[in-house]
Amino acid sequence: GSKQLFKIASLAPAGSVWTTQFENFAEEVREKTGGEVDFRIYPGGVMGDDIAMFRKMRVGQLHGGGFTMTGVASQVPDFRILGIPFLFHSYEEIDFVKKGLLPEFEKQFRDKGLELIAMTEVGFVYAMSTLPISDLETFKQSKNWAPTGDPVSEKFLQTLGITPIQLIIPDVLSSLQSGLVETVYNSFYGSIVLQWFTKTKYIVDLPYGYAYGVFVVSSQKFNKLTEKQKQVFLAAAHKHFPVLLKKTRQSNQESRLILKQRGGQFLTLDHGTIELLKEKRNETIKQLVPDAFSKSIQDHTFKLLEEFRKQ
Amino acid sequence: MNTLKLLILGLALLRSPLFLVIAALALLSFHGAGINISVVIIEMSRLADTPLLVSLPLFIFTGILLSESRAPARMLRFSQIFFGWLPGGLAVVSLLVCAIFTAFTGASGVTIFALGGLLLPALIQDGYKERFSMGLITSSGSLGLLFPPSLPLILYGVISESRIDHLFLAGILPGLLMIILLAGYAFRMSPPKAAGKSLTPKEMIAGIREICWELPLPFILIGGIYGGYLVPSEAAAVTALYVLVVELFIHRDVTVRQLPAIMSKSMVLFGGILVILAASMASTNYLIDQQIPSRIFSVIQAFISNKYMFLLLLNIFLLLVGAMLDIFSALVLIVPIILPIAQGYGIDPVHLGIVFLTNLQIGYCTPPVGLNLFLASYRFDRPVAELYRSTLPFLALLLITLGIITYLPWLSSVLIRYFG
Amino acid sequence: MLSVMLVAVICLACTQIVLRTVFESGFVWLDPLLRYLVLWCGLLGAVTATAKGKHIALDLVGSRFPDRVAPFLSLVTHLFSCCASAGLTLAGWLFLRNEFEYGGTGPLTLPLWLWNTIFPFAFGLITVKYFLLIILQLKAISHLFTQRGGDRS
Ligand code: NA
Ligand code: NA
Repeated sequence: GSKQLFKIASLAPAGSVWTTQFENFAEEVREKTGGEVDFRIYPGGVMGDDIAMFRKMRVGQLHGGGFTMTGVASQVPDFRILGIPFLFHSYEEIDFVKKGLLPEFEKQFRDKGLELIAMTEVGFVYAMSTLPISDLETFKQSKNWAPTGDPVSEKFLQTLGITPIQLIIPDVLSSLQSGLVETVYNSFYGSIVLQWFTKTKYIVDLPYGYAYGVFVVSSQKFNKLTEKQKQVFLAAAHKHFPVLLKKTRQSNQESRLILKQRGGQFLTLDHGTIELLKEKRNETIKQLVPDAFSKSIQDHTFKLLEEFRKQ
Repeated sequence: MNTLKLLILGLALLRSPLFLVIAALALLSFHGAGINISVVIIEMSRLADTPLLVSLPLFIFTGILLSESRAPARMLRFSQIFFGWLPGGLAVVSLLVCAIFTAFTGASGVTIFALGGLLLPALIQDGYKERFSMGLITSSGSLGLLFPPSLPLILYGVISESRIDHLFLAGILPGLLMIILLAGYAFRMSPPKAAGKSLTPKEMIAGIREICWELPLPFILIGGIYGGYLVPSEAAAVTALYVLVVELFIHRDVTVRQLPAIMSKSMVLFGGILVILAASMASTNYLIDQQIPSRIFSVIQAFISNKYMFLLLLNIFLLLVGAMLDIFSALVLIVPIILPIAQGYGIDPVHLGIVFLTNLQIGYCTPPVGLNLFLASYRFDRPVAELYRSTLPFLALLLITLGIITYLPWLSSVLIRYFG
Repeated sequence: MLSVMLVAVICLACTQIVLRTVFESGFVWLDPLLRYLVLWCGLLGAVTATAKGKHIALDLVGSRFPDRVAPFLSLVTHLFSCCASAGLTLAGWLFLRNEFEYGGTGPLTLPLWLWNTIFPFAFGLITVKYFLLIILQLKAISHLFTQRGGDRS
């Protein structure tokens, strides 16, 4: 076939694990197709946020991207399901449920003209605050942040009686600085990369939720590849993206230690508070079906989770 | 295609609207690269996602309202009371006010609009030459970039993964050096004082009482944002409302019937800026799409032999970048490329950040393409060429500071050593 | 019209502060609504700026030409401006068509494409304005010629 150039954008900063590992993947595809399939990478959100990236994919300026869950859910709402607060206890659970849901996700993406190449992650996110939030009352009194355009976390906080302050990620640090928000949510690695940890000394040591994303390319562009090129493409993805997951988790683990060294205080919640939070979470889910995600994907997810926990 | 682009550039020199020149180049470039031209509008629509967008028209309105009232005269009286003894007093006050204002608004050109209309008549009334006054305001439009909590400084920290509190400390001395040099020049250019003319205590009290409604403005802004009560766009709204009430009902400088005209005047000004911002978003996106900044840099890299050579070429490169890109895109695009190379030459990332931002700040006022020059030309209703001439001496001083900041890393590191 | 929108912007922004600080609540949709309102204000302001000839322009050589050439130079720049803004209108229309098909919901649960109609609308108005300016300029030039012709005879 003719030469194919894939223009790929992402919000992940240049030089972060996400982009460097993606470059490894791109290099392998480039090499094994003899330069017939090439990539151009636009990191750091220079092509705009998820919505702008989708618009550009539609008109053919871009051919793929690393999207965040919140961004991609505007196209495939069911993809939100893993973002429910306090759903998972370990990465093993996540990997099991993800594997079970993947065929369904792939189908839903393909219906939208998108090829799901790999799922990526930020990891478990934790509530981090400038105030010692050790119970529900102190948590509610602090000024909470919610990312712009995420109905799940917004609804959950509202169920708890909190009106979150919606800010885009680049605005969070300066707002922590000025005290406009006090409690924010991020992974350990993310909190260091974005410098939020310089302000948030207190960390609630319970995974609040799971943040993840996806690497997709447009089906139209993907189908221009020959069968052999497609195989090379997918094989390289199969090889490099699991490494990315491993590296992300490793960075998070290392970051936890760094946060401790820098004087971060890890707080624990008592059993009663955790149960109450989960109760409120279940209440939230009822309100979210079917606008935010479908009943069938919810049932499927909970069944898989139950299956894993029985083992 | 290229002849067509040259033709458009020629038309730009013949007084065609700048936003249409930029937009036409973007439309042609995208079309030539085989990309659907609706990308131009996709980029423009991203303006609706910028949180700073809301503060822009509000600050413009506040600035015009203040300048249409008698506030400049009151401010002048006030500064005569406190700084009248100091030659160049009002110019120094103007420098400081602009620096503080820019630190908060992030050098989006708001400073020239919000303060220019207020300061220019005051400076001229005080006896400064018009050319000097315009140059002073134009070059002060990006002066506070190195002071906290300036957004570009924070952005650099995020992108380069260096500590932001260190960056805040590092920016203070270089920023002060810049102000001191400019203040020294203002001191030399200050008009001769009418000797022996001193104010009576009664006049002083009257002057203070006059300004007492406008004086709290900077404190509302700074206190509101630093105290965590307001985000910048809300601070802009509160200031607008406050000034509206003060000028309309307390000083009664402006009547309700004059108000629609003032409002529509500010919206026309805002519209003129908005379309330029929108068009440059589109043209910047073309540069990004074709990876032009990194290509230029790889050419420059071929000539580097040592650290000082690198810094010199970096300065030239960044001044060029400052002429092409807005500060946000420049940070996002260039920092990741040059940071590893700079570290290879043993340059500290924090020092690099200060050099970087100083360059971009100066790029705002260098001819032929400098945002501050265009904004000032628009605000003061003067040809751009006249502003080129009036900013020239200030530009020379800023370039001297750039040299000092670049080759004397001590300036940006000493405070970190003691307070970091 | 523009004044009303500006007053709305100031009021809405201040309401947001009161709601947040006094009642500890607020409307999450208020912020995006505010930004779209500002966008509309600005683009309509740009249309007015066109009508008043108040756009930011470089003027490096224009004033050095003799007076005789000036009307023709204006005609050329108006022609260019008309074409360029027509190009933007077309781009805006293409953008809107895509939004219509795929776009999500914007503030006040109105579809996003509706909020984005301002782009082709404003650029369309600017195009029309320049078209009218071309006609006026042509009339002025032909008037100049007939006048000169009259002088000679
Ligand atoms: Na410049
Ligand atoms: Na610039």
